[in-house]
Amino acid sequence: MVTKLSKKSYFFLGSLVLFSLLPLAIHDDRRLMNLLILSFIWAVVVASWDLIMGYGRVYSFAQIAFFGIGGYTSAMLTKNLGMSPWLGIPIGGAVALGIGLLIGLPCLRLRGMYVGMVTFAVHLILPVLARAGRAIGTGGSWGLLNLAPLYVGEYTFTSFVPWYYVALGMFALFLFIIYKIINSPIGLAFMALRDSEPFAKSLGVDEYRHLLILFGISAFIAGIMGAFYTHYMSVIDPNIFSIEIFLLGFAMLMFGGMAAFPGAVIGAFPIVFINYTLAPLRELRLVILGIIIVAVMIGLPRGIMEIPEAVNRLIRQRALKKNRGERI
Amino acid sequence: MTLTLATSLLITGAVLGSIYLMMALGLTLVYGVTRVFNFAQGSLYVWAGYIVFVLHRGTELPYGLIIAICIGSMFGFGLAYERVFIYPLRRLAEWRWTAVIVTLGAALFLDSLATWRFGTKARTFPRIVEGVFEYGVASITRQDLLIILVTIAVIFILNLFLGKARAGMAMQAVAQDPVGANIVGIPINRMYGYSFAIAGLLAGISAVLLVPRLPLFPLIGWTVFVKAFTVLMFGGLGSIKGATIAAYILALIEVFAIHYFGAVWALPIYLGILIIVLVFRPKGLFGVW
Repeated sequence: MVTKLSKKSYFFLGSLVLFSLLPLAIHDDRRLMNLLILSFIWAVVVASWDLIMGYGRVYSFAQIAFFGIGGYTSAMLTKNLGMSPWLGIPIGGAVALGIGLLIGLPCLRLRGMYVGMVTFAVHLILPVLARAGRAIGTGGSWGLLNLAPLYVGEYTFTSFVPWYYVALGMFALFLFIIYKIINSPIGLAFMALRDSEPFAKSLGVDEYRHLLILFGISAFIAGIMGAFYTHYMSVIDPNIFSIEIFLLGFAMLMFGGMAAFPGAVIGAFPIVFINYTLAPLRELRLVILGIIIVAVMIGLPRGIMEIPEAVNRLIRQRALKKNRGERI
Repeated sequence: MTLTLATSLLITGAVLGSIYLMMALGLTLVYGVTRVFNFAQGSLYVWAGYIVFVLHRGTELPYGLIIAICIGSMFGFGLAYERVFIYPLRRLAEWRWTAVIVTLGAALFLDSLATWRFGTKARTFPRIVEGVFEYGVASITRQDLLIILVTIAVIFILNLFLGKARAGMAMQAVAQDPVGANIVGIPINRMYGYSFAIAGLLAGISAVLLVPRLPLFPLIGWTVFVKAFTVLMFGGLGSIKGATIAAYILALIEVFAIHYFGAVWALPIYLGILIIVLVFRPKGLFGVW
């Protein structure tokens, strides 16, 4: 176990070093820089989604909603009140956390599908509110444009390089936090609940309290990343709650695999790149993303991290078939 | 409040309730039998709508035949849907958990496919019956009257089917205890297929009745779906009785709330009621977990 963990952390540190050196070579490639920044953002969002849906085993379909809530909060504060984005981003996370707890308190007491329905309803209502909310400063259907970029002292972020490093920093920080949570007593409690729910409960594991903590954390992280994403894009409109964005995040989570920690993170990169490559296909792109989700769930229900295992299984089955001389 | 106004609100409530009920029945039947919550019910509705739209625009077939083709092919669509998206999952240990996620993926896939093929433009097709039916102070369009009547007929037939027909009773057996049903020789896979097929059929009937009232575009399925699942959360998943009562109660509340407080308040009132119900009775009025 110990060697396994340190192997993972070497891999993590190694890729961080690699990523931080990468701009030296590619800082002129605007497309690649942009895609990597987006990948960092999405990797964190999907990893936080994985916390509640993969590890918590709760159908939570409100993750993109929290992402958008964080974005809208920060956009409204900086645009309408002239607040600094450095302040707006954490407040965006805090508002997502607050709304997350507000939804989670009644909702996480429910079981199975009911949680999924409530969280999905939240997601479906938000674009309506954003369109109708001109009075509270959401900017209606047009959204809010020309949002303030980040800055350090007198220097505002105009090139991709500073954005890249801030995104990478957030990527490292939040993945470290998520990793720590998975390996903390909270993560342990969920492992126990998954292995044997009645036994874990009889030992005093309070599922509701742990779920609420997990739900809050994942809402907070998604909110912060949403706010950061919004300032990076410098625009937000109700499309942030669209089926398209939902589908994109969902495809990453499925592709990477749930409850297989670096899985969701690794899944984010190829989907961001695939999504960008397929952009010329317009609507057909979403069809392909949908096929990826369904195909991965049917073929590899635990995502790409399962591939080596699945190959092994296939080989074993073949061998078994040969030995027995019959169909299995 | 005058008598005319009260009657007209009641009638609108009854029509809305019937519409919500039709949508909710497909969901609740599938959930009852397979314990899978089918996020793609709204997408089935959308595809049924486009089948009618394409046939009506592209061919010279009589309208009645088009409707029959649509409803019949939706039965097959439901079967195929189960075969493609749900059946392959059944080998997994926790297939129900995965299945819900796959239905969401399938819904997004079917919606995007509709967007790609038909665009986002709102479409419609003609009513089945034209004109207005009047009786005393009550007045209702014939199409709306048809919606109410068909819904009542569907509820009646569905209850008869589940209670008296062999296939229906077998479905109930699978709903109660899949393992036991399997032991006594009920083909579970076929029953699962049938439940999705009936859900497809119901989506087809809803589309035929509803599209002339509510223009069709690829994402309209979600609007309808949200109403349906609110009804189910109120009435309880897996219960036809619960869905029936909940659909009409919610529709009446909605109609009166819109009349007294304005349309903006419909959704908050709706959700407020929902949360109160869920706090005091988490599985709805007549639900199963």
